[in-house]
Amino acid sequence: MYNYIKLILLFSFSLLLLVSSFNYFVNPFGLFNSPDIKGVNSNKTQAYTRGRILKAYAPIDKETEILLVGDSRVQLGLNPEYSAFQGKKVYNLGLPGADIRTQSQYTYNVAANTKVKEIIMGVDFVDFIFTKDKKYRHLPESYDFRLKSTLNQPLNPKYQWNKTKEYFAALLSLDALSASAVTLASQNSSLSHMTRDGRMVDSEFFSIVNNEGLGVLFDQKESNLTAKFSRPGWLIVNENSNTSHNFEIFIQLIQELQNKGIKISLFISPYHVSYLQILVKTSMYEKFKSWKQLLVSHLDQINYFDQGVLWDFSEPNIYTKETIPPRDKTGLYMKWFWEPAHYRLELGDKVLDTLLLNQAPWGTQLFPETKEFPLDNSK
Amino acid sequence: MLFNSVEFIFFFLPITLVLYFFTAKKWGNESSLFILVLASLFFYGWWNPSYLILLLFSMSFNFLIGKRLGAKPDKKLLSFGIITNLALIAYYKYAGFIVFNFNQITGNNWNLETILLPLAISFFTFQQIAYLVDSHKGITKEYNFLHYSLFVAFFPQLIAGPIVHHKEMLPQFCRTGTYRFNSTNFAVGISIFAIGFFKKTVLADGIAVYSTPTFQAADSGATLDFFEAWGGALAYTFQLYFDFSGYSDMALGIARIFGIILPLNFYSPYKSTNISEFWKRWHMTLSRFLRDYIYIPLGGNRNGQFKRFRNLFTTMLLGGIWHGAGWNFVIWGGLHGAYLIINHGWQTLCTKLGTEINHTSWFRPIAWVITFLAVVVGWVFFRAETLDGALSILHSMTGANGVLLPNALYVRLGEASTILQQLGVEAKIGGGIVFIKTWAWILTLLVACLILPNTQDLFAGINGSLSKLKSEHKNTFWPFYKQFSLSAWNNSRGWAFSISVMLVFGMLTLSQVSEFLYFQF
Repeated sequence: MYNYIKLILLFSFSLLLLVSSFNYFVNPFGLFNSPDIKGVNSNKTQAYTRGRILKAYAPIDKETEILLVGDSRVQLGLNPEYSAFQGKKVYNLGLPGADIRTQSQYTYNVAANTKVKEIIMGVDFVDFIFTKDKKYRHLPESYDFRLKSTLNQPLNPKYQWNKTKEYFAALLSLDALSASAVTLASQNSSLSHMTRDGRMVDSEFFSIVNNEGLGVLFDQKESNLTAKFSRPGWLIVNENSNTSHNFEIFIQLIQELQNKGIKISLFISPYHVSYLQILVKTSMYEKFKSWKQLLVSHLDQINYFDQGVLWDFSEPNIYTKETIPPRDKTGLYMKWFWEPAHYRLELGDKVLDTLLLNQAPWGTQLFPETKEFPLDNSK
Repeated sequence: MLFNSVEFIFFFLPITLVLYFFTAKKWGNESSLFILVLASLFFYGWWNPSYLILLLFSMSFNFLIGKRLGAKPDKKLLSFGIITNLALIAYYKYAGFIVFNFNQITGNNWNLETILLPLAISFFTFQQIAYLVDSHKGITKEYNFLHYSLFVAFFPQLIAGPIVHHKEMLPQFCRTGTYRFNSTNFAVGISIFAIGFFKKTVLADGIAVYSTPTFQAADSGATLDFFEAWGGALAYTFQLYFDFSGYSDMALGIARIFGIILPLNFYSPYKSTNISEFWKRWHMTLSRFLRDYIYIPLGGNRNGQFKRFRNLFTTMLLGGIWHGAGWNFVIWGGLHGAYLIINHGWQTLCTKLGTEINHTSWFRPIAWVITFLAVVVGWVFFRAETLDGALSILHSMTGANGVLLPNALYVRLGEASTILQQLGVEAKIGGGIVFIKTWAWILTLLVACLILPNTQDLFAGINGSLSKLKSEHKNTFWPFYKQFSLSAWNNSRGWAFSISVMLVFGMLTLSQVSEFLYFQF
């Protein structure tokens, strides 16, 4: 029996070694510096499930110079390889589903620990709104444990330990092993994947449009948005107040970035007009308009406009009014949008053209003196 | 402390093992036993040290009563002991439920402070009630508090069973060989542990992802379609089995490393072709307790068919309540009581008609389907937190809320989608990947449950448990019986490799969050 016990020990250690080497080589979440081999492991199809882990560490390790910040719209729509970024280290910090609090903490984490010079941030209405009981916007602060610095804790004492644990799990966990296996098997599949600079490559949308039609994407998003905005009790500021925790933490972030001399460009994401129609239909449009006014007013209070810009791409314009092709036809794409809430990379480039090059500007630049915010033309 | 945790596997277990064998060698068996009791109390107190006070009180109280009963049987003393035990469990486990229902009926608004449920109270209370009854009957005797403490608190079985009898454990504690390191015990123990570890962490926790959201959705009022409801109910069916039987295997394995053999708790219940057989194979030590200490004292099958059915129903109802303070558990128990009555009725009818239908090869799969579906329906009540949630899932399982397939799948079915459309199966947007994963897990685990031998079958030759069962297939549906039933563990390289794979896969889950379902009981 002693031989049997020895064999178990030997096999177990060998298997653990094999698994960790395999996970290191495939590197499904993009945490390690192992080589990316085209057709083998270069498409990190499983990394999107670990975005909050990866993006806590990668932009710091990469010594990022330009940071693209926001939610899923930024992650899908802004390209770190945009022509004007050539020669610079750019990272897409877009975090799907993250509210402004999480986005702010992740941004500060990078700003405090790198020599980042410029931040381009997409600000979104949905990331600021909340309900009285916070039932629908309560992303846990538990994400903070993996950040080296947060707005309320400049240096997390457990950062190194937590990072080691997470990297260890990326080597030796069943999640990592199955993610590695799926990564290997899905190199030529239609699964979306995350690039090493944090952008989500939208391959899955192509597959859906080709097999099921654009209508599926629109129907799903429209019904989700309608259900979400129809919930009662949405607030943009605390009751009897003109601010909220979300505004406060966002302004705190902007001030910290200003103090560090980081150039900031803010923009309100482009939405397809059908998105605005849902806001109108669910009686949220007035709140959307008020939110913009509050955003401008909060930024003005810290003299943001002396150095920074705020562009609004959300209102009806030549891009956002793009016609939707027949929904039941497969293989028909829109040029600028995937669905009401997410613009394509091509429109992201147009956003960057305006923000960075002032080339063929579109949208509206907002200033403190902006009193009127345009209403949806279709209303 | 969970068996499947870093602190248990890499610290508690190795340290306890070394101390256990070292002290036995150095200072004798009793000191080693003392170490094991201390370790068990530490294990129990890990969650909340204040739980320990109750456990120590319960052990001391029952030891004293048991000692007296052992010396001189006394019905009044026995009643006092049992009532005290039941009062404790009633207070900690059922007080909130009783007050809630009292308020509902009377319209009062009595408020009870939140009572923290001591861990495993149902297990150690029932184990000690059995001990008191056995002492009263003269079946067992105990005059050594250290031995008694270990019988109650032995950490492998303390939290979730198996529920052991004093007479099964005491001879093992008294055997000198128990305290010497034995490579066979270690090899068998680690192998059984690895299988249980894999079942719990990889299989049960793996499929849990597909059951939990379904029940949460139903409990919060969402309407599910046919496949969602069945997917959730079946996923939970397998989650619970692999969770609990996996944990029981881990308990057997750990105990065996210490030289102790525990009773069997699971024996492929999902192979059963009737509900009586299911209960002979599911949570066997609880079934044994219910039979010996409730059903038989109630009269069992001694006083005619009607009273037998009444006793069965009462026993199962109490078995349901044992699992938790809630109407869903009562319904679950009642449902199984009804199933058992129907089954006995059917068996009686078959006997009267002189038919052998139950043993025919064509009827066996049908009987299995009926039994399995009845069990799944029961689990819906068992898992759902609200009665409305359970009823909503069952309603959806009938297809009343539509039979929908994810559109991504639907559009790829080609001509078949036209036939499905005619059958009323419609497409829905989203959920394609979850659908595929859910049903892939369900089918894989269903096949595993039906075809593969269980841990007891594999280790019967080397006393894996106190049971003598080996590849028993009476009243079961076991496809490929001949091909798989003869498998048995041995100390070959192949087995060492398979066990290592399971051990390593289990270890790889340690960084993931997982809770053991039966903790709540």
